[in-house]
Amino acid sequence: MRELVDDSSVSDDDVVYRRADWDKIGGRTRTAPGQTAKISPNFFTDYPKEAAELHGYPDPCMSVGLHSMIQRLGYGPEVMLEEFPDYGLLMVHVGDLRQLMRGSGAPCAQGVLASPTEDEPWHGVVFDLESRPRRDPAKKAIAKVACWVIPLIG
Amino acid sequence: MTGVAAPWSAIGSTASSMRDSASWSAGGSLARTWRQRTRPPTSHTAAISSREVLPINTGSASDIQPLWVASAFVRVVELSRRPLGWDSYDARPLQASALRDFLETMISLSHAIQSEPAISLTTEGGLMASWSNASGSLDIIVDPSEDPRIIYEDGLDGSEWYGPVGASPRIEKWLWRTSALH
Repeated sequence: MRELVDDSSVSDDDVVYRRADWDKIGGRTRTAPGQTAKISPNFFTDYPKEAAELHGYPDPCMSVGLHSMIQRLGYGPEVMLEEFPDYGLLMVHVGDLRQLMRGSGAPCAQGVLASPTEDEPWHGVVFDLESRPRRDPAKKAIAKVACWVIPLIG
Repeated sequence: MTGVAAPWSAIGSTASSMRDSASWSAGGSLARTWRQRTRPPTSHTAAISSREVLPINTGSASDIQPLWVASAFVRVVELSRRPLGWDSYDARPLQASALRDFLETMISLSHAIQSEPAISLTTEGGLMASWSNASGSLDIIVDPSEDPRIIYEDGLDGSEWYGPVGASPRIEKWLWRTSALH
């Protein structure tokens, strides 16, 4: 098992990428043709517990791609969608995750860990430092600091 | 008005293909209950267009169904067919217990719902219903083995409320406001 500890080798200036699909925002028909889909808190959920354990993590955490590692390998962020047509791609700055605040103003800091895999050498995970799995207010807070790299378009 | 027999039948047929057939049967039964209960009070039809006035749930005998019910059920049936890993991140397929709890929750609040929610799957195999407009946003989230919960954000002052559905004394008002179309 890989301990979920905030990884100081991942800079605050780095960026994480996360795939986004229509089934997490009510389906494609909820977005007007030509319009960009809203960024939903439901995009920022952890692996289910059993899946996290299968991947070697003791607690639920969220799979992401790390920009610095993708760049080091000579790719662009779109590499994360190569096998996933019809998905969008979101980005969040690592510094924003570490200093995350709920709508109520309470802190809900997230940790980031580089965790390369054979299939995804740029792979990392994001996890809540206090509550695992991440609770809904923290997901909502991430949605507010996230932005589209490759948007879902209705 | 639009009938909901076809979507409900679809729920029933999907139910039969699921592992937990008992729970899915319960879902079918709840579906019928929802069809019976989700009737806007005909004596308060003027309030339907208002964001501020929450109608009293009179339970009057009417065959009128909320317009959003049929398409919401079609959406749930569609989502029930998603396989393990549907989100590319090992998400679970829809779980029967979550469907049952989702329907129960929606039944209990249906008198305060003015428009069709965006219905999504959660990675835990649950369902989420969402509404959003200028007055705020509200999500009802039902995951397996957890109490149904809501997260509400006021569109004016940005304040947030998060907790179990049953613990919020203002959920109907928030739901009525955020599900208003205008």
